[in-house]
Amino acid sequence: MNNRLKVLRAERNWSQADLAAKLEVSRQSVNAIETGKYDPSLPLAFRIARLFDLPIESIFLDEAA
Amino acid sequence: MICNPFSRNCSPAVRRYTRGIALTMGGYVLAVLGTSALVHRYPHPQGLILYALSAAPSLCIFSMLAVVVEYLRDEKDEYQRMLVVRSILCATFAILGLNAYTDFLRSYGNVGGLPPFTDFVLFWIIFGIAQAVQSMSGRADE
Repeated sequence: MNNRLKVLRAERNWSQADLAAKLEVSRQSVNAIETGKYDPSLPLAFRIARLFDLPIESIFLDEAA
Repeated sequence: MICNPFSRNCSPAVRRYTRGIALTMGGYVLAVLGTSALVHRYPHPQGLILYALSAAPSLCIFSMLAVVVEYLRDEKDEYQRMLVVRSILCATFAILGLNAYTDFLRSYGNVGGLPPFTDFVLFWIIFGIAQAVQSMSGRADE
C-alpha cells in the first residue's frame, strides 16, 4: 500500500528516529512503512493519523479506489 | 534482536528477552555439564534418575522457548514482532524439511540421520541467519 508518510515527515523536518519515538516504534518500523515493505495494523495507522492530525485515507492511499 | 540489556536503545521487551535467553542458555550449559558429569561418574542411569537427568537440560530448552513466547507477547512494536515470527517460521520449516529428508534417507537406505541435539542448535542458527538477512534487507532499503 502506498503512503505519504515520508512526505509528511519531511514537511515537519522530522527524522525517521523522531517519528519512531513519537509513535513508540523502532526506526526500522518507520522505514518499512515508508518504503511500502510493511502495512501497519489499523491501531498503528490510527496512531499515525492522530499524530499528523489527518484522516487515515489521506496518509494511506487505497490503490483499488 | 539481541541487544545490550543495559542499553536504552532497545525496547523493554528486547531487554527482557536478551536477559531471559542469557539466563536460560547459561542454565542449559550448566545442566548439560552437570548431568553429563553425573552420567560419566554413574554410567547407565535407570528409572526415575534417568528421567530426571534427561529432564534437567530439556526444562532449560522449554524455558528458552517460553522466553521467546513472552517476548512475542510483550513486544509493542508490531513490525519487529512480525520479523521475529517470520524468522521462527523460517527456522521451523527448515528444520522440519531437513528432518523429513534425513528420515527418508534412513527409511530408504538406512543412512543419514542428524546427530543428537542438532535440531535445537540448527534452529537457533537458522533463526539468527533469518534475522540477519531481514535486518540487512531493511538497511538496503534505506
